[in-house]
Amino acid sequence: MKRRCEMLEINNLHAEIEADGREILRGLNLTVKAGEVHAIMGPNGAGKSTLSHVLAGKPGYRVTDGSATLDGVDILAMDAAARAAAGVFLAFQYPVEIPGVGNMTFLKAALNAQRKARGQEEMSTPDFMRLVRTEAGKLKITQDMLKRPVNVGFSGGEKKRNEILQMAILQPKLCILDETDSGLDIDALKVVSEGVNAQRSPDRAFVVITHYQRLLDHIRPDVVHVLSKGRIVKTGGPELALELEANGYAEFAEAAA
Amino acid sequence: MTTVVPAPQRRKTRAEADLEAAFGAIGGSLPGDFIARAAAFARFEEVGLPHRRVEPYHFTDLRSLLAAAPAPAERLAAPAEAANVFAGIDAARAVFVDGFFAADLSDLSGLGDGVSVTTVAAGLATGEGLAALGARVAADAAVSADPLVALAGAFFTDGLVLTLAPGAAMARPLEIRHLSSGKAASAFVRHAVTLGAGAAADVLESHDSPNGLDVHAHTLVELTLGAGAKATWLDHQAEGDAAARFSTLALDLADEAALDHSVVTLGAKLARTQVFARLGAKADLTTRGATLVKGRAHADATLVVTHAAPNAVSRELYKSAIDDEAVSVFQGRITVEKAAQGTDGRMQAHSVLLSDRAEAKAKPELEIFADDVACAHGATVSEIDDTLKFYLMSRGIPAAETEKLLIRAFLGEVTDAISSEAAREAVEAEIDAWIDRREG
Repeated sequence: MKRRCEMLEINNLHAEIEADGREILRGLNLTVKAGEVHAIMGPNGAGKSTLSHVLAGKPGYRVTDGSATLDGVDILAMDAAARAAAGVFLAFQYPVEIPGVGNMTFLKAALNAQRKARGQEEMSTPDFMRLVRTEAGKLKITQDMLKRPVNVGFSGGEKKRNEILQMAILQPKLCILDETDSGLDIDALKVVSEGVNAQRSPDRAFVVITHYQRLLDHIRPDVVHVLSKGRIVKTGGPELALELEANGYAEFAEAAA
Repeated sequence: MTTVVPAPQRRKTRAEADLEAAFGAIGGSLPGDFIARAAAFARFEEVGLPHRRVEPYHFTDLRSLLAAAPAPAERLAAPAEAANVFAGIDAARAVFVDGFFAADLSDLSGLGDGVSVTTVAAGLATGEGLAALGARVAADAAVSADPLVALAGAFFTDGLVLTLAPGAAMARPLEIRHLSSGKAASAFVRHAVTLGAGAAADVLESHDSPNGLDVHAHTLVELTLGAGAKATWLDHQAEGDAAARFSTLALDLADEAALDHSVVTLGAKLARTQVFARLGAKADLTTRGATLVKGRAHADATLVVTHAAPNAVSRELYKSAIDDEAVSVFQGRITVEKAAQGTDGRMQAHSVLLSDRAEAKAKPELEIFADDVACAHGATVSEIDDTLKFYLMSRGIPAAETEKLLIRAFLGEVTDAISSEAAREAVEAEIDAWIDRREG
């Protein structure tokens, strides 16, 4: 009998920095089912951002062993664009500014490229405009922000809201949030979290990477993992995040050593 | 005892010998004053084709870049097929084929009152209406000493003389279109455009020739703006991949005159575009360039901007996207004369390398003799930013499409500023097509 594939399955993943051969992920295992929200917490240097980059296909890393599949399909063999079309979305810790590329042009190019890759028709301009207006409104993104070049002159909070807007429009299967709370004040954190919560659905999974428990008050996880030295060293329920907040990561840093 | 050392004899290159033979053969039969042509040719022969030790041509050594010079075209012929980038624009048109005015392809109607237009050949035949021709060149030693200017002065066959009376506003744009007959030839045209005080004009200039054809296309334009006159000028150069394009624009902006100039270069094996500008008090010059080069092509943009009177503003922005083993050169000099207090000059040159073997050379210079000025220049060479590329790809945009977006964005600073929407869209479509050809 064929085994049912979970949305994201990572087995014994080893990855190193291409430039210097430094191993960052050292046999990481993680399974995320559709509809679930998993939080990945860990000390600085544990490999949290590397995990998000390797899953999204950022150049500069070499996978030396292990596998990662999305709905049973090997994503590690794909380039970043193909992974996005397959349903992977990374909300960046530091969204980049792209002078000269209008936000709307960018959103439309991304959406239609993904639809094309999936064999769907391009979305018509009126439908697209309607979709953007609706989703932008929910995230308090102004017309001016939509007209400007991607992220250029945006505040930290505006950049993060723009990430969530992209998520809302692209409707990915797997959303990876890389320290989305960094640099956000409490009001911005609320808006962003509400945006994320609105996207929760039985067909979609979230991997929320964060250093602090604070974000998890707003985006309630089903499962919490502790990542240390490139491996998941502990898995528990939401209470684990509170425990970490109280005791810090010292215990795990030792355990993994 | 003294030893007499003979001056070293410089060996003539094949191209120089070709030009000398050509002038000997047809110089006497070219229209107009032979003495003036012979003087121009003598100025050329004095220095010959410039090489790397000639400062203004340090990066564009014509002695080594030009293997030969095809014989000058001798008469008007039918043009080779070429799509007109500006076809969608309602404009009057002056069409030149191999440097000869093609009356039946031109339409100079509807330019409005106070606008007079004639051809150089017609003027030479009657001896009238050519006062403006050569005036700007003769007044400026830096221009008249230039070997390409000298060649155009010796060999020009035709051109356009456009004159606007004071206060006249051209009722529609004028396109000066330069085509090739499809035969290997050198072509030489020179235009003189003069706007009286307070006049206004929009000019489009376009250059096309077929791929694989040995064409040397020379254009010399003298553009003189009277006090308070306003002009826009957009030059679109799409020569074939074996062609050499030599463009010189000699500008004179009187007090409070304003010119918005853009040049887009996306063809030619060898291109040299030079702008010589002289600015009066409170004159306002903007000049921008977008250069796209690939293969083993060499494209050079050289600016010499002279602030001669107080409080003029100049803005120079040149950008190039360089692929394969191509070379892009930018040289820009802003000179602020002693009288030009309050000058505001800003020059920027930026290149993006699209391949490991592509090369960008930039030499911005400021020469300031006044003490109350604001001048700046900057030059950068970069590659397509991997971080930006990854960001776009992570949203599902394929790698090739990503590069296209980023190259467009890079050149956008130049193309976005083209004020005519139709012209802007036409140029953007050409740039997109250039990028698409690159992917394929």
